[in-house]
Amino acid sequence: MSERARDEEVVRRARAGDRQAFGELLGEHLPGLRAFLFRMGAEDADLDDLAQEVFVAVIRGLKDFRGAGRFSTWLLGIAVNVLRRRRRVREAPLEVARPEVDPAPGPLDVAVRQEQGDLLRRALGRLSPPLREAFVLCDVQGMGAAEAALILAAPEGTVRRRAHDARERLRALLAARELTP
Amino acid sequence: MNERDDILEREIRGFAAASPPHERPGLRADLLAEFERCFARARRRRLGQWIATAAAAALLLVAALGLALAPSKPRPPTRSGREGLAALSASIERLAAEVALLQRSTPRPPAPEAAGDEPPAEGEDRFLRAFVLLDRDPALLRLASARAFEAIDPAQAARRYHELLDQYGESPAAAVARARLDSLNR
Repeated sequence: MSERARDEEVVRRARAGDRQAFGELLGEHLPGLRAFLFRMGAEDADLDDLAQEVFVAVIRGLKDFRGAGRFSTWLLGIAVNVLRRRRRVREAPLEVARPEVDPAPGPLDVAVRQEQGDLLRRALGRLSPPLREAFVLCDVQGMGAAEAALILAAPEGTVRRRAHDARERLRALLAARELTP
Repeated sequence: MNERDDILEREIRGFAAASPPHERPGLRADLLAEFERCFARARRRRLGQWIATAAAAALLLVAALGLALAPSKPRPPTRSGREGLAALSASIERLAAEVALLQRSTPRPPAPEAAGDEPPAEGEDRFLRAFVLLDRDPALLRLASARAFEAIDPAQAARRYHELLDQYGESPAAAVARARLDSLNR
């Protein structure tokens, strides 16, 4: 059975109120959702609250999910809406989590953070939300522009342009070394 | 690929490989509990709608049977009317016996456990069982409905009696329907 067919079957059972099926959906998609929220700049302290908010929306919207696209696409679309709503509520760009436990990291810490893409995480915090969304979906999650466009509810061409602009801006930021700790 | 591209590609690989902090213990349990609450609410809504329908049907039946059994005019019933009423009485007695049997044999549903659950309405079980019994005898249900219409719209009641005779001409209820039609036509 293909991944999509298996997803459809599990979603169908969950829509009928099958608790075990919903548990399977959580097992399959919660880690990916948390990784996506993390990449989108959600603060560590907010990460699980956001994931919970997304899955509560999923529970309430399951009856309307007709399986036109993949479940993961629908899930990330909800996640993007939750993040946008959260930003509107705060009336400020989503702040990128900054490590505060160690104000003076040693050379090893710096190396590890660089190794783990910490510079990029900081740089993403300087991008506007539309550019960040397009970049994370297309360049980090590895999605095609068509699927990213579905998630962002934007035209495919617009998504391509935003991802391109984001890459240009990030190259400039990284080259300038402005973000080096 | 120039140096700027190299830096970006390396950073993307590191960023994509970085793991979010550990999942909060209890997150999945919270979500599973929310899932159950949501579907329990939906089930209660559906049951409530069904009970309302059943209650309306049962009340209609009780009202209509009361009218059917009470002599509407001080006139001796026709032969077919007498036979029909006798058959209907027997049918009602059978239904009453079944209701009593069901009430004795059917365990009551468990009490709702989640906070905020509404307790079942008093008499809910009785209505449900009456509805099940009515569902077994569609001719009786038609008869009740037509009889109720006599006081509101005699022409509509006559149409319903005719429909009953067309579809359930052999049932005990049909004899009563014929008698009521005779009465309406006089």
